[in-house]
Amino acid sequence: MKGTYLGEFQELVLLTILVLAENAYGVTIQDELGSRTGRNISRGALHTALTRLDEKGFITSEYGGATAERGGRRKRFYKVTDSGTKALEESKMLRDQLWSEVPQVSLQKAGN
Amino acid sequence: MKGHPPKFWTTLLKWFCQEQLFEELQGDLEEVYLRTLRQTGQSRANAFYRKQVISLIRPSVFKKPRKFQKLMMLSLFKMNLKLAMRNLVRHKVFSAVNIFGLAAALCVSLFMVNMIYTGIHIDKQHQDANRIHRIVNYVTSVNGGKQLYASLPFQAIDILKEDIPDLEQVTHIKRGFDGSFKINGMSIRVRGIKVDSAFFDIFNFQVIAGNPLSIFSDINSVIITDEVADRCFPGENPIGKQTEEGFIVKAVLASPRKKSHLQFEMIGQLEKLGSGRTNQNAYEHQLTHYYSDYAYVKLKESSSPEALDAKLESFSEKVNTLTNFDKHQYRFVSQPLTNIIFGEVSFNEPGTVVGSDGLVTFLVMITVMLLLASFNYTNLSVARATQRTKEIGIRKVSGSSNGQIILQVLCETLVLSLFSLIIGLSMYKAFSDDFMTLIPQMSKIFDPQLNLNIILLFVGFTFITGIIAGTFPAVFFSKINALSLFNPRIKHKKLSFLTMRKVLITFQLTLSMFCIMFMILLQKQVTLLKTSPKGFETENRFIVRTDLARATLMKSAFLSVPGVEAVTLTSDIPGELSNGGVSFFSPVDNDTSIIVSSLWADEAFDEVISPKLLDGRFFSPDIVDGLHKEVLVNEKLLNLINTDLADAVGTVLKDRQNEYKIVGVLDGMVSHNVFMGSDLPFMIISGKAQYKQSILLLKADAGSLANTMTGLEAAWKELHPDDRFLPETLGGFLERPMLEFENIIKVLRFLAVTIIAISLLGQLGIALYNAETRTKEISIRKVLGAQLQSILRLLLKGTVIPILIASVIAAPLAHLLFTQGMAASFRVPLRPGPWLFIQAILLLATVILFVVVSQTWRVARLDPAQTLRNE
Repeated sequence: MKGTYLGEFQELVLLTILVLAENAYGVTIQDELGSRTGRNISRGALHTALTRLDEKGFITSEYGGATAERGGRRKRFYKVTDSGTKALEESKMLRDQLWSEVPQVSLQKAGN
Repeated sequence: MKGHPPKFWTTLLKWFCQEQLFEELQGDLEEVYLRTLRQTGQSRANAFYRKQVISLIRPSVFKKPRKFQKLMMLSLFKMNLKLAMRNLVRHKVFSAVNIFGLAAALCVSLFMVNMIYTGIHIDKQHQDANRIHRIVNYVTSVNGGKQLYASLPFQAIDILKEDIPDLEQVTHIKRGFDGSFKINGMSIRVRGIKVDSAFFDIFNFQVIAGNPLSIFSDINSVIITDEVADRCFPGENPIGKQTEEGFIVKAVLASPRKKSHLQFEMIGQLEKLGSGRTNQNAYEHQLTHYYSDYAYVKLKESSSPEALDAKLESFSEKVNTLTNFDKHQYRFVSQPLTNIIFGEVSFNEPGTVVGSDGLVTFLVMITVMLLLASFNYTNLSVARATQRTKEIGIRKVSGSSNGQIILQVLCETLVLSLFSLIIGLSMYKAFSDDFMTLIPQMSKIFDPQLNLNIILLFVGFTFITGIIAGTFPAVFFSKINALSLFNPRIKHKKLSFLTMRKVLITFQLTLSMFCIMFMILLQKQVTLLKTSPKGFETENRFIVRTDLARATLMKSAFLSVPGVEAVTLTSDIPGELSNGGVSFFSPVDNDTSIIVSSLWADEAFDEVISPKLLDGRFFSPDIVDGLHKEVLVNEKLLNLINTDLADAVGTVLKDRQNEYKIVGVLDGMVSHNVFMGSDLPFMIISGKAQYKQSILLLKADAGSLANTMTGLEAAWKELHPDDRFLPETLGGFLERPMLEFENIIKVLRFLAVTIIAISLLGQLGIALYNAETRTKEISIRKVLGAQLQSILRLLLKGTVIPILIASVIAAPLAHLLFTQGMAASFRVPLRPGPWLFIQAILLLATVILFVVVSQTWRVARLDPAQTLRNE
């Protein structure tokens, strides 16, 4: 286990799962992430991120019903666990805190 | 539109993807695939699918051996080992046959591998060994062919260094510097070489005591090896000891034995006048003496062997323009020091080499031996397949994969090979000394001691053999279809391996047959060579070597010894003439000169060795040493000068000064030993001039040899107070090449016996197996009324047919190889008749049938009531 550190991509995946709510499975996460970030995300990269999140206990998953459009294969739906939500909150708090302490001047310079 | 994602990529995904992930991942990919298909068409969809599958090739998706599986593997391996051991113990005979067969093969291979290993490592101890080369030369003589000589003309070495600037060092080595130490009244002979000081710059032989370079400041000093020091002066300081010839030991070097191809026990110096060069007579300065001088060079770092060879070519041309009495043509080439042992074989080697032929022989022997032993294993394993199919079937039904079964059989083979290796190594230890005495020459360079490297090399070797031997049965077992074993409705596939087995058996038998035929042919050839007439008498004839100054006096002294019937003074030993020696103008056209072998002898020649004449007479008793000489010639010489036997006597052959008048034609007198091919033309010349060496040949009365010898020694001591009396029998001298040949035959016989023994073991195994498995069949046949005779016939059919096939293949092969390869170079080649081959076939067939019948007889005689009691 690589501890409970949340990588940037993993954080995005977690948030996407939350956004998609009941309909979060491989294809929808991939689409949603792709359209929001404009990045081309491969299924392989997504799989690795999901595996890591699963290992850290931030998500759980269960199979849904079989659908014809998938060659009869079942979907695996992902859900964010409580510790996942907590990790997201901590991450957000850390960022907010950092944001609040950034002096206005340097922001302007960076913006230019 | 309903499509399917590309099948290949799906299969690939399924192959590498963990099972529990496949459903989700493939489902996702297919969903996107179908969507893309609808939106943008098939090719895009395919490309997308492919890309996604490739993106999934990552560690988190791969199947991985998890801890549980690793544990399984370990326990499986343990179980395999246990199974292997149980199988070995349960089938004791089978295991013993295989283990001993393989052990014998490994033992022989170990000798060969060790020889190759030591051969490769020899002469590596010298600093910059890769820059050291030996200069050798191809000598083309006028009447003979082209031969490679390791020794060079004396004169050429002198000009070598001046002419070729690429050489950093040149050392001149001269062999034939022998001496002796007198220890407790006994002379111990020491073989030595003479060298110049560059020798010690090029070669690094370990100095044990003294300063080797000090021999160059004192002409009467020598270096000896530690081996000589231990033999002659155990526990004493060898420095300062004196040889019988008066040389004083100044230093001790480590013996070159097993370290270098150069072999010496003593080193003298070749630099100062007085010990070496002044004794060179005019003969050597005519570029004709290329028998005892060697040149080793060290290349400059900036130069290359190719550059050296190019320069040697022009050097050869220069040497060939120099005055050359025998009109030999020389072509000098370089030979890397470390390649000498396995390089092209040359004449006059200063030490012992194996040669490229030897290396090939070693490799072929290793391959043949190990193949034979592997065949035994493969054969017997497949033969036992029917017994073991049930075992394998049960394993398969309970879930073993093909790989696991292959692993198990291989494991068994490896365990068996390991036992063989242990036995092979102990056999090697036990036999290495005996083996060394079979090859006395080799023992100088070959170290029978095993070191860790060789043993490790050999363990690897054994495992490879085991895997080769085991793969076939392993794959065979794994292919067994478990269902077919238990369901009688599924037909058994016919075992095509039966044919394979027959082929292997026949191959083994053919090889054994070949060996036994070849050995019988060799034995007959040796008898033929030994009994081949020499054309003169050797019984009770002795050779005594002296020098020209004392030869005549010695002769008359010997003549007065009672028991001596006749004495003659000659330049060479009849039956071992050297090539070339006398030249004369061809009587057909006077411009070309003909060179033939020669022997100078005085008028008593015919009395001593009693040759026979076809025509004419022997030398007249009152020949004078003049320009007119009487000669006896052989028929070959008459052919060479195109003269008929009837006209031969009286013909005069001339060179610039001398006239050689033919007075007699010899009947069947041989010119050299039996191994040098057909006879050369030669002449026996009356007179004493131009003797290269002075040899007294004596004919003694058979009655009182011991007294005669004492008399001879006393007469010798009067004229040679400092020299030992060392007579040799003429017969013994001429036998010497035969002894070497017989040593080679001993080695060959050893190998042949090993090959035959391995094959016999294989036959024994098969016979045992047959006896074991066919007991019931035989009993039923007996109950149904079969006679003992017909049962024996049935059981032997499988052996007799391969023997017949083997005979048909091996006989012509042995005949061809023997008559073309081996016997062609002998003077009296054996012309083998069919009887010899029949003899060989009968011999091998008898032995094999004995082995087989001893097993089948037992089965054939069994009481059916006993064997079938429980059925």
